[in-house]
Amino acid sequence: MSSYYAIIGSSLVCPSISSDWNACIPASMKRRDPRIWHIAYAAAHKVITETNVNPVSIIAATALGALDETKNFLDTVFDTGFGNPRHFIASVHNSMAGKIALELKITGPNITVCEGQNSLASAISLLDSLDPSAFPALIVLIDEHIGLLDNLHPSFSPLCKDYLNTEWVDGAFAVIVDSKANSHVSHIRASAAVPRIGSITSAIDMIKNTLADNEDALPSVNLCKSSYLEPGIAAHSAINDLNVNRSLIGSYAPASDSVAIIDIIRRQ
Amino acid sequence: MAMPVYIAGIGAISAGGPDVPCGFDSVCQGIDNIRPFTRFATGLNVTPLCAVVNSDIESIFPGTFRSLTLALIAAEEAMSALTDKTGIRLGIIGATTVGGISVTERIYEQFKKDPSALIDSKDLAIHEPSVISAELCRHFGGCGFHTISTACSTGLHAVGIAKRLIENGTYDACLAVGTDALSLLTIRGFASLTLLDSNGCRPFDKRRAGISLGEGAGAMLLANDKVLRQCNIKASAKVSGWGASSDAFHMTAPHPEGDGAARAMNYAITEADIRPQAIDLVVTHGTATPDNDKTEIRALRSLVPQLPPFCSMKRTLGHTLAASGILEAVFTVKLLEKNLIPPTPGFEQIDEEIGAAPSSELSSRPLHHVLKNSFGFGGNNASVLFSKVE
Repeated sequence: MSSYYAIIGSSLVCPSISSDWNACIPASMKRRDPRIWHIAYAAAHKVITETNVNPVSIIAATALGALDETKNFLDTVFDTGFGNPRHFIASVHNSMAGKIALELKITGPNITVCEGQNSLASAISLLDSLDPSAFPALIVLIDEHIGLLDNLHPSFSPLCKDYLNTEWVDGAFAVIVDSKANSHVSHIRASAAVPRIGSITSAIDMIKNTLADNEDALPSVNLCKSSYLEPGIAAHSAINDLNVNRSLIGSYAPASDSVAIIDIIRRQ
Repeated sequence: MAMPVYIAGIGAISAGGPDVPCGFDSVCQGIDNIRPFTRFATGLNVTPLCAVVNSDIESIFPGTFRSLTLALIAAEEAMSALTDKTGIRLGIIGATTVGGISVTERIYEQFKKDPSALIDSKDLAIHEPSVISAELCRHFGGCGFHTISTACSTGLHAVGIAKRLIENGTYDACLAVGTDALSLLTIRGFASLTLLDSNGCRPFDKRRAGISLGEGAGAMLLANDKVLRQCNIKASAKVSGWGASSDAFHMTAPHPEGDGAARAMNYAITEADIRPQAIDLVVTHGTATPDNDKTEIRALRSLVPQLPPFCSMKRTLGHTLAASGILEAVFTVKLLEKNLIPPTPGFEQIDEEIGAAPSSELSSRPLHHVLKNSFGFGGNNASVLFSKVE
């Protein structure tokens, strides 16, 4: 597990739930840029506005990156023979973090983590790699549900269908954290992704095993495995639920057959 | 003062050769490894020039895909130093831009032709970059892994992250691996940006007109004192500083004055607690695009007005994207160990706008601190300072 970091504030943007999610997007971005950049920017802008804190660094977390842009680029190559450079630029996994840094003038370290359903945990755990001068740090979890996946879904083999269903919600979760010791109420830490080892069969047993390794055996773990954004939704809920003192959020990534844990604790 | 983090093992596979000795020889001789790319049809009117791994690697790790195979080959070479894993907490930092995109491309093209064809779940999973790190973690018995993707700076950031995670006690040893195989997406992508030089890349040359793509993998096993003692490793170099910054200027173009690049270099130098003038050699990002080469030297000059010797390895290795930073860092460590400055193949004519020439021939001089730079899309900058263990 990483060190604990103080939570300054968090935001959650789910386009399917809130209709005005993109009100803060500058007109130039709305005109030119892909939807996934809009979602990532909206979550970052919201938490920065609500906390009035300007982060020094950013760690973005995404499973698939700007997959729609990759698809659009390949479509232009396969269908017309000419690749569209705008789609190529946006298709790079760190394009969301680059865009947020550009628009919100974040000039410190800028890292993007791609760890499937474990992306958020991995990003939080990598806070340990930042210098103290890189705080406050912004973490943004972002993944997009695109039509192509729905179109592909009938062709998926059974194992595929199990972990990439057609109903998952896309969006972005953003949280600003400060380095270790201070007076903020809620703190967060996480593990790196840990692969399946030996004969352990279930994801929850893999998580319990990881917790045991961290000498931190706690009974209740909220296991997220249905969508890439789910750990972010669970974290946002835990941060804002004043009645819960501690939340353990487990995630399972089928592609890499690995688990990770996020631990959120409220200090009164 | 943070605990020293040593380079305990290195590995590489590239157009320069299937291992570190062959690749290092190619770098030192300044071999031009840029060739017409023919492994698959790109659909371009002009055959692109690339630096390709020539060895027959497909059968080495059956059931894997090319970028993972490259990663495993480089990692095995680096990990050969870790002779006794007892009680060692090993972390894995994987670095890739496109991971298994070549498989995704094949699936998608097939789907467009026949939407009713069944897609194998294993093939679909390969699209996620984390598959590479997870496999490395399983293969070498790591206790945790991270997968980062920051475009062309990824590999060098992996080294910096590994350094910090050892310093703060998360791991005793950390295997950082950067890998990318050539794919239709990257070749057509850079072609769409008109960034491929039809004459092959010419770093810092007045006539430079773009990059030459390459493929490969670089691996570094970083370790603390305890690991060195346990495995009887005599390290010749350590990672003394890591700098990371964001330009926040433009999605693809560098800041004209190299502002973000200079900050990354300065962070690395400051963390190493040396004067900028103490840098003996800079192994540049040196991609050979008109803007990148110019701004990199501007950034360097803002820190060290009397430029130290600098070089680019891109004509020998190609631009290997996420692998480039760590692959070139592997050879940087060898240069430091051997006190060598390599030539810069592809360079012939000085550019007045740059006002400096890279090293043009293999030479020898005492090296104590060597700086490695990597920059990427999104204004992403990484610098790592390597220092000799005296």
